This record gives sequence, structure tokens and C-alpha cells, in this order.
Amino acid sequence: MSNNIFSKFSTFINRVVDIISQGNMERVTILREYNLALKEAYYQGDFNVLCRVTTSPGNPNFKHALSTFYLRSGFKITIENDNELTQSDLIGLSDYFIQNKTGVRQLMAFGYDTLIIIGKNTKQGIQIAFKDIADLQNYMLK
Amino acid sequence: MKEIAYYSITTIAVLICTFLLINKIKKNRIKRKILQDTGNDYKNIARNFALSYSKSKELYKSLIIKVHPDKIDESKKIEAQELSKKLTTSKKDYQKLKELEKEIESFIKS
Repeated sequence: MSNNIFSKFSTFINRVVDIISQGNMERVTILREYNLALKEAYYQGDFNVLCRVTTSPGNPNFKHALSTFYLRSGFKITIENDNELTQSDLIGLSDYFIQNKTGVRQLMAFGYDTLIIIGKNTKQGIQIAFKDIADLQNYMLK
Repeated sequence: MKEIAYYSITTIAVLICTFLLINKIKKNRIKRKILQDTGNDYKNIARNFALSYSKSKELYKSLIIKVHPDKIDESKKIEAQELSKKLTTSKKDYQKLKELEKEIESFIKS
């Protein structure tokens, strides 16, 4: 119970920091929509992995033109039911996430530069740079 | 002397703030451009990711068999090859595979 309360409290603080650092509710909206969709997919049996997405510290080496401060530049997907998860499963999961370049560009527009996929209990994880997946050259002002 | 120092520091602070503000405005313009192109259908993107992970492999296998060259008439082979190229490109995208499924159904019926 105390873990649950702590988790809800840290999510709330995370959201408040996102709103203050960005000056708007956009990040909160995108995280909420992602969490709702992934939870729905899991409970409908369409997805066998229960995921939660949050903002986290990113990798300063993955910075791009629209990156926010590195402590808030990570897009973290935490896998709640990670009992039999291996590193190759995480890599496989990330392949499906990054194949949608439109989604990746949206996240880059919101200042995210690092995709982090990590197991909640095993703490196995991977990090991917968004700038290696999609580029923003066509959008740069001349 | 004190006044000169005060005015210099204030000028430098104003210049730095102006520079940061112009930078922020430029970034916001780029951001708006990107979001105009990509839209704001985040729920659909997340759902597509979930469905792609669970179901795209099976769907891809079932569709690629339908456009396999051995199962197609000589006259339709070129179109079948185009469809299988599109399938291979969209192998991990459930939404695109569903769109291609409709194309393949109408190709088979024709």
C-alpha cells in the first residue's frame, strides 16, 4: 500500500515538474494518453506487457536541437510484469516503438531525446537516441 | 563607478534574456511545425505500438503468403511484387499492415 501511495505521489510530482519546466500541459497530456492506451491494450488482451510511461533523466550524449534539460529528456517505458523478460525482449520491444517515425518526431518536439525501456523489478534496460531514429533537418528554420 | 557597473550588469542580463527568449521562440516555431505535420493522435500511436508488438508478426505472415509469387498469375506478378515490398517495409506496423490487408483483398478479388 505504501508503495502504491509513493508511486502515485512521485507521478504527481513528475507531472508538476513537467508543467513547470515546459510551461504547458502538453507533456502531461501525451503521457496520460500513452498510459491509458497501453493499459487498455493490456487489459483487453491485445498486449502481453503492462507498461507505464514517465519522464525521466535522459542521456546528455543524445541531445538534439529541441532537447530539454537532460534531467527531463528521457521518455521512460517501465515494464511492470518483467519476470521473464530478457535483454533481447527489450530490444524487440524498442524495435516496434521506433518503427513509427511520426511518433518519435512528436516526442522529439516535446523535448525528449532518449528512449528508455526498463523492467520494474529486474532493472534490465536499454537506451536509444531519438536523433538516430528520426531527424528534424526538414523542420529547421533557415 | 558603481553606477557604470550596475548599468553594465543590467545590459548584459537583458542581452542574455533576449538571446534566450529568441532561442525559445525559434524552438517553439519548429515544434509547432512538427506537430502540425505529425498531428496529436497520441493514443492511436500508443495503441498501434501495442498491437504491432503483439499481432503484426502473425498478420504479416498471413498476408505475405497471399502475395507469394508462386500463388499469383503471371499477369499479376509485378503488382504482387509491389505489394510484398510494401508488406516488408511495414512489417512491424500493425496499422499499415491492416491498410495493406484491404489492398491485398481487393487485389486477390480482381
